Amino acid sequence: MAMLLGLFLSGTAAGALGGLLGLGGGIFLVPVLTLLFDLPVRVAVGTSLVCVIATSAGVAALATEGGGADVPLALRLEIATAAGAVLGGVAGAFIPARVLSLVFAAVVFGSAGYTLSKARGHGNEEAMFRRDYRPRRWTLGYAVASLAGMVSGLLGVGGGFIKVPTMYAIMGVPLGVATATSNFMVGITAAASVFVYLGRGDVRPTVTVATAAGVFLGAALGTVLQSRLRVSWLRWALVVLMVGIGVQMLWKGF
Amino acid sequence: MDRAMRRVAQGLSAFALALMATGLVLALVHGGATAPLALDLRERSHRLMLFGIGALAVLPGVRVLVAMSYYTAARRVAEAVIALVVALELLLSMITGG
Repeated sequence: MAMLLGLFLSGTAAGALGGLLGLGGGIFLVPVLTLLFDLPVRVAVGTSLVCVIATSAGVAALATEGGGADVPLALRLEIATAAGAVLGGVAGAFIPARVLSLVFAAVVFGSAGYTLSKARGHGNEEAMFRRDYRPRRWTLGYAVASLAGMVSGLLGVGGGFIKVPTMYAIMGVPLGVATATSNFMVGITAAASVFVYLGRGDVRPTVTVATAAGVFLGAALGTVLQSRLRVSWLRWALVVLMVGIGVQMLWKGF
Repeated sequence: MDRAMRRVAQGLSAFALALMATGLVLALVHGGATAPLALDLRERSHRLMLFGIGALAVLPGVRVLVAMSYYTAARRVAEAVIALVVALELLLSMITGG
């Protein structure tokens, strides 16, 4: 029972991150499930994939009018991500994972710096959601989305933490729309992999359901909180998270 | 389309959550049951939870299909084709994975 409660609370934290920052939560859940709950990595990844879908579903179900994902943008970037994942699978035989980790760290640090420099142009009046924008710099957006897919295939991370800054800082999408769109995308990416884990029996029902129930609650909390927080606070949270992930990638690379 | 997407997400999530919650309650109850009943309850609870997880897992695909049908009806050909490609990618992964 204590374990189920622990899984529920971990799920709540992952769901809140998803609702707030557009992350699937795999980057948080997999280490927690393996290190704190002593689950095998495959089971942790299977559980995490279901929870990523739960976050995506929870955020979509609770989206306010005009606060949903930019679906055409999500679908276009998703194709680039899938192509990147395939390339990653092929490149895995030629490029050492540590080299890619270093490239990825550079991209993450670059995005964090760019997000901060972009913040100088805005005060606290920046809108979380608006519909009067046109995504720009598609080529760069596709390139980074492909890289995120490539790293997904090679390192087993979802890439939500790079999709949000790509859409926000590079493509000019409002932060709230970028997080909702990223949630939609990570749900699709997770759904593409989850059946492999279900088919192999790597999804343990009791563990997964306890964690996913927490994720739904966390996604609801995150969505409510997001509407009450300033864009500048979320931007800082995103930058701190990116720097943390960048350091982790550097660690893997050296 | 936003509204349709939200309704699909709400409906399927509620259905999946109901199945998973019922399964989890049964799984917690079966601890106190006697041997043959416990096995039966365990089997049923696992099946219910797996059905719930399955319902949740198809949700992103259903959302893509909703988008595809919307773009097709609106004659937005490029977007409909992109949605079709993503839907096919998901279908392929379901077939190869399951």
